Amino acid sequence: MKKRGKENQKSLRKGHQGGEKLPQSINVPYDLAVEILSRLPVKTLARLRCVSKLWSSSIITEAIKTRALTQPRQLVVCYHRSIQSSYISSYTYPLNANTTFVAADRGGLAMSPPCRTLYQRRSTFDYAYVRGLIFYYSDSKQFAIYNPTTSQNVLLPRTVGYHKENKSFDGFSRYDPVANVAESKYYHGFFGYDPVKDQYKVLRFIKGATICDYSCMVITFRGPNKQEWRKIEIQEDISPPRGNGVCINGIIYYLGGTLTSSVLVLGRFDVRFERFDHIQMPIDVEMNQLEELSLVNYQGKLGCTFYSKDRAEVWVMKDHGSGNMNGLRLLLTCLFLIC
Amino acid sequence: MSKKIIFESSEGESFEVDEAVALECQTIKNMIEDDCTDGGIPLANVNSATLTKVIDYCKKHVEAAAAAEANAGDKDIYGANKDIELKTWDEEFVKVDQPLLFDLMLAANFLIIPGLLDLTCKTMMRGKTVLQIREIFHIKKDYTDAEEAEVRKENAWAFE
Repeated sequence: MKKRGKENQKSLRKGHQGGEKLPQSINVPYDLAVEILSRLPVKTLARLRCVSKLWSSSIITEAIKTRALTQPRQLVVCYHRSIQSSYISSYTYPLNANTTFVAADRGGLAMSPPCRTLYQRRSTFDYAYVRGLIFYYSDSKQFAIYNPTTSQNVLLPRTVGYHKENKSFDGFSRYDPVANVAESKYYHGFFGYDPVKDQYKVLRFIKGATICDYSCMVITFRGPNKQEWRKIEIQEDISPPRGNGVCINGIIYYLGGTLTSSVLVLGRFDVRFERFDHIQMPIDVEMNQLEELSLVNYQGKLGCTFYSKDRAEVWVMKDHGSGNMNGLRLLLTCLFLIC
Repeated sequence: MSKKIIFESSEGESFEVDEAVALECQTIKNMIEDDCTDGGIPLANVNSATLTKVIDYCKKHVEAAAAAEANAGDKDIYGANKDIELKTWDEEFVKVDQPLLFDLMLAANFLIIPGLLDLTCKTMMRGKTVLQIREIFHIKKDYTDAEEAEVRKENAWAFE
């Protein structure tokens, strides 16, 4: 098929990769190295982290991230009642599948990566998937972040606060001097991603003695490096969350309330600026129905699943409102029915 | 007779291929769609030896795709073609010396042939020690021995 003609001997720019070169002199442009790395199996990548600092950092920041985002996985959460445990398994979805993670889960179990002991807790929503990483509450009673692509698991430091009686507590339990027991005082942790600064953050509330006495702490997740919790100020009239949360477009939404009224509101936390505000709850729900309510990421939009005796509803927020609290328009889509 | 596309290697040598074969390269596909392939496509950074191999690869894969379409039942759930024969062919195809393999990779990157890029990248890194990789890519070790030991320890599972 090919003509070995020598016509047109234009003096074209000679390729810099002539066949006469020795393997020792290969000079790989950085972008091609990243391209190569993004195609390799995870085990090879972990090995190649030893090559150089540059490679190590590009493996962590570029190659693995690219892989996690271009090869979306779906998490399957299983709960086994008899042995009181649960586990996450993940598998790669066909490449042409929708890249949006739809979490329509509820049930409140602390999740751990496969092959780990699990910590179970009732009525809490202890894990979240955000942009390739899973945030969960581990059996060592610490928040942890798990990367399903690399099977890496990072435990976040414990939060240590001080109670009024000067008893230090880790945020999950509080020493009660009267009953002489460590009382469980746990509040949800939330996991968010800021697409502008490309940062993952964990937000958590720490409960104090009363409902009004609570604090908020944030950690910026920097991989396995050392990191510290920072206390942040709360200016808004909000009370700690009452249900799960979900991060969409750099905003963590959660079910919450206000200190001044008993109405359920939709709390919002801006991951980038670390600011709170709240908007009206889009659907009419009584406080006692809270258990039936769960916030989800519905194909990149805020969704709310609501279960009642004979039906299940999924509400989807049409317009994220850009701070306009009355600008919420909702679309009721009854996606499935559970009998 | 199907349409022909003419490639021109860095040495100025001309290669005539079927349009279907040329369409395997995303870059060329775009050019064909933009209708700017008349008078041949100069590939200034691909030499003749590499281009011959690249064309062989594209031809083989076009043929294999046509054959697979004929018996479409063999596809797995991911739509990937589990053609063992093609896999063996690919393996044989990349049994070349290091510089040519590297040239193939660059060409695949430039011409955007995802299959070939994948194949060459994986072949290039397969079964190589960290030392060999440093040698091949001419990377100077910037870790101290202690730092390297630390990274190695962290990723010990990958060395098993």
